[in-house]
Amino acid sequence: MIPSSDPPSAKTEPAWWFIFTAHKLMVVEEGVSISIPLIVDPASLGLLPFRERYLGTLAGRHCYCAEVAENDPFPSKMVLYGLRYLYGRLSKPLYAIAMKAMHLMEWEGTTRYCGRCGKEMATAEDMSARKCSGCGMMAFPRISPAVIVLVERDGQVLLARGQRFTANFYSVLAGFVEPGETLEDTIHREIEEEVGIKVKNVRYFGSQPWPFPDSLMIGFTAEYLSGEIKIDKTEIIEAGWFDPGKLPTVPGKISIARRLIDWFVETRLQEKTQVETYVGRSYDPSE
Amino acid sequence: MKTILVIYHSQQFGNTKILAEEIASGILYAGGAVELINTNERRVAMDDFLKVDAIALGTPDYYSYPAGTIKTFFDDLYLWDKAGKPVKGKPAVLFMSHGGGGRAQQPFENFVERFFQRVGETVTSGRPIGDEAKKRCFELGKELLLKLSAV
Repeated sequence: MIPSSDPPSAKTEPAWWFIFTAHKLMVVEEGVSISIPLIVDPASLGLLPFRERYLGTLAGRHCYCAEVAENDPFPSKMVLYGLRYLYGRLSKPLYAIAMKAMHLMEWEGTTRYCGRCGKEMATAEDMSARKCSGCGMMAFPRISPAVIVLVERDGQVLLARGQRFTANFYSVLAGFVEPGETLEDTIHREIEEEVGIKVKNVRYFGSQPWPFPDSLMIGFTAEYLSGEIKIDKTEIIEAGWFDPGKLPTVPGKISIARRLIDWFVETRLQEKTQVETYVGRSYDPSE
Repeated sequence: MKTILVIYHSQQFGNTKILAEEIASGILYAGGAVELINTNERRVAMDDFLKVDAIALGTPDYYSYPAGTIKTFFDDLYLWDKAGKPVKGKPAVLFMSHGGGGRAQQPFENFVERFFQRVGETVTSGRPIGDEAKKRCFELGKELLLKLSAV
């Protein structure tokens, strides 16, 4: 990830500029290649950001993020895309920084005024927080943790279609962590609420920043313990157990949900092949 | 996505490092991922090298010769090759900084030809590093990535 460092005193060298407008990122498109503009200053593109922030360095170059107004004149060489579209199309290290930049820009937009006294807030000197000009309250970037869990039962995976899904696909269960909960509490509560079953052997899988607008997805695997599927209709349309070889449409590769599902399919199909090979060989009289 | 390992030796002036970072930026700009190892700080491990799609290799000119740690990298390659590892044939771009003659270029290129497919011309630069050499390194990084992506 991007190493933090102090911002340079002046902008003299070309730097990576992550410029957002209307929740979309400005990129340079040359043929099939898409990149982040390497410019000394957004002014060179005729842009005047109303919000700007230093991010650190990548391979010796400074990185900044900024936001410009939606109706500002748009540079002709640039194209706007949502971060989801840019996944797999932008260099991985640049994409990781774009996720961070997006999260920070969205957060700055929601901390313009102090939640305690209502005065204007400004970026604190060390840039780790926003500080109120009136009462001095500090607001740190908000990160909303959510758990995402792959539940397995006798070699099958639990997948569900959510009410809020934008497209017609099935995924593993997920939910936001509530105040006072451990991550394990959230897992047990969400699974019971959404599909009415109990699970055991919860294991950590991996995590992923999800700046839409401010989540951190924390992935787990678990095993079925008891109960029958009974869906909560306000959140889930359909849920069921699926064979690794016969999955419905699943989420795109950008998400940790897909990483969990791919991991499950890969390991279970592999095990199956190993078992079959072993059984086959054990009946071979020449061995 | 293609990953390129940028291997360079840099210590006294930091000039070779400047060139290495320009190449890295060109690679990132063209859509690749990049890892940098300064051999003056640590030795390249076999896995660092085997897992990448191509390399960029840079050295200063010391006594008309590549830096010792770069020679060590080639000595290691020889051993990995003997051990049957797939070390040969990766595309490679080269860069070099020098204080005058730049005679290290010949032995440097000779080493490289034993193991790699050279892409583009070696970028050489005197000290201090000028904008022209930086630009050539950036373009060389882009060229390497575009060549890899075309395959």
